[in-house]
Amino acid sequence: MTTAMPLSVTVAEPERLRELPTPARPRVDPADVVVPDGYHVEVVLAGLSMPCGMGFADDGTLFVLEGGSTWPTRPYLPARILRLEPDGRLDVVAEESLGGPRHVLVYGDTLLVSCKGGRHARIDRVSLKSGKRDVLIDGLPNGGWHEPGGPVLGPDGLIYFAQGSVSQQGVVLPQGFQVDLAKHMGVHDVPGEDVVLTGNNVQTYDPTAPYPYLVETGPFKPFGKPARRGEVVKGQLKCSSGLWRAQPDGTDMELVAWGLRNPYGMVFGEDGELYVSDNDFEETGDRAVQADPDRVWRIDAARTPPGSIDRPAWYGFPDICGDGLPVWHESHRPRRGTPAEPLLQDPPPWAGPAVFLEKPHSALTGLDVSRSDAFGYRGRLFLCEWGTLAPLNSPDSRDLENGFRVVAVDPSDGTAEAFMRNPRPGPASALGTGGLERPVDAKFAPDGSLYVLDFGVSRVMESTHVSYGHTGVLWRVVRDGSRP
Amino acid sequence: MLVEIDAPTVTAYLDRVTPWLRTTRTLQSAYRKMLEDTADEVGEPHIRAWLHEIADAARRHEAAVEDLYGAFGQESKKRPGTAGSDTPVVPTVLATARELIGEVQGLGAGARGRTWRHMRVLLLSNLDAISGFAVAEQLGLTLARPAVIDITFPIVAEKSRHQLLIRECYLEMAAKAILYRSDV
Repeated sequence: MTTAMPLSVTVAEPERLRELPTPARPRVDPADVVVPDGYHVEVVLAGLSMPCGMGFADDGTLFVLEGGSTWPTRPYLPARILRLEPDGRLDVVAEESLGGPRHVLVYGDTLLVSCKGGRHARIDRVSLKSGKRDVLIDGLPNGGWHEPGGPVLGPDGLIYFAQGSVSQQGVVLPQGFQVDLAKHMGVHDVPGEDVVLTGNNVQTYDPTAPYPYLVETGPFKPFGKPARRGEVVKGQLKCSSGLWRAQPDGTDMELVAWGLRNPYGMVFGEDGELYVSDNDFEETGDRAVQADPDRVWRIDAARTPPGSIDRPAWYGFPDICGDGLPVWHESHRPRRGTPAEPLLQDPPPWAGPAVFLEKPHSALTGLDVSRSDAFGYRGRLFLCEWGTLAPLNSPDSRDLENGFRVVAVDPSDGTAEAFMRNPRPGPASALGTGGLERPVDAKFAPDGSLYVLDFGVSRVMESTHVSYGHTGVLWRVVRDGSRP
Repeated sequence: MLVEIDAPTVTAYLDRVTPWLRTTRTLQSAYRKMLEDTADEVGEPHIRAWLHEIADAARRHEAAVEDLYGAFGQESKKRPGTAGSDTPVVPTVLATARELIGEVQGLGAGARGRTWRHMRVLLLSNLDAISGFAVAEQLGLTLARPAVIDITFPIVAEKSRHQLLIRECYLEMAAKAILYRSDV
């Protein structure tokens, strides 16, 4: 953890939000955001850089995480933990290193913070009194692509947290050249239990070689290492695509589930169930999958007594889509790229179905549950949809506008309605409005209002993906007449 | 509340960009001069043609630095006589110094071809100039200026392709320069 730099904060009149000195996002205007009748939108903070997550203390203090190196990994900006006091004061609690903070749980007088890290994700504990940090849990296989989820506090007093897969498509491929192969040579997925491999490998060009010759790569292998038919790969507690629980001091770590591709959002519902958002395979490259839906899982195994799990639940990665169909099913054959083949022989039983399926590439991120009659929608999951990376990861023109909104999901029947959105699909920067860009996290404040963290402008084209600093926004949604 | 996007903070950040843009111009100008000098020296007709082709692009990229100032909302001080102005002297001195260093290092390494030795320094010089534009791109992303990226992204891509070409020519002629003691 590095020494935090001073923060420049200015209280501004609303009209200044319409002339911001950030051409990528020149204005922010709550009037351009659509919410149901009876609710209104306010701007709390503007100018955040790559914000990724947030969490409330019981007294209403809000901790906002600026992610540092995010999506893509450049530019790397200060990975700060910001503190917004109920009286409006804003300061820096701490600053993390490269691959910065993603989620925060306020636990007593400490913050439990998941950080993406480099080859390994970790959970740090930051003292709010001294600012000192210690590492509670480290060594969760990462390697650049997918994200940590949690920590969240369970009804059993344990913390629950997750880490997505190392590879995008079940095999380390050169699509991830910049963040996988170049920075993290040798990384690979790790199973959560012993698996037998089919011996199917993926052929692809090696972009690191002086001549672009074909190499074969197998699942749970570094790039360029093939698998053999019948080969057994041993499962590990610290696997990739895993979800764990542990005591809040990091001890008694137990693997609850694995096979979660990118479990960014985690929350315990009013019903005591653990809900986790997860993102779909991509339709590009050498193991391409069409139309894998984004999804929210209910982790049934989280209801079991601590220490009682003999076999972790498996949610499908690297062979099963969110709809329960295999990646090689006719409906998932790609229009662009090489079709996928089975990687696991005799795979574990699938722990689905999902409680909610969303359009592919909506990019589900953070979520929270409404626990307040004053706000309404009690029991619904307020789920952020960061928004598509098409055309980079899908050739389907219908995928170009998926996401860029917050939906309210009823986990009891899998239905959802758009709660917070732009008047037309797409991010505000594409629409020329001052509305939503890319919602990344949602949290209800102790006063019942909904805070929505907006990552900012992240623009995707066929050959590139860029994100702009100082374009992040913290929005607040208040039900009319509910403010104390 | 505005976080780091109040006028004094943004102005201070933009002021810090200007010296890097000057550096980028110096690096690109030095590379362009060295490229023009080397292209004229080359005897092999294919390599000479390739280098002259990329010299056209190098001149275009050098001129684009002026656009970068505008994309950052900054005034260029290219005109001689203005405070902190860029003059042609700096890149010329840099190019000459690099050519001299290349001469010395190349001779020390036993390579007898003057042009080939210049190709080696050209390789390093373009790499330096690529980093100039690429760093400007990071500053543009940080300060939320898409106009900067519109300029830098295609330039970095094109210069990276040129880097492959220069490296290939340099390596192709290495054995002749070192073992056969003949020039390009």
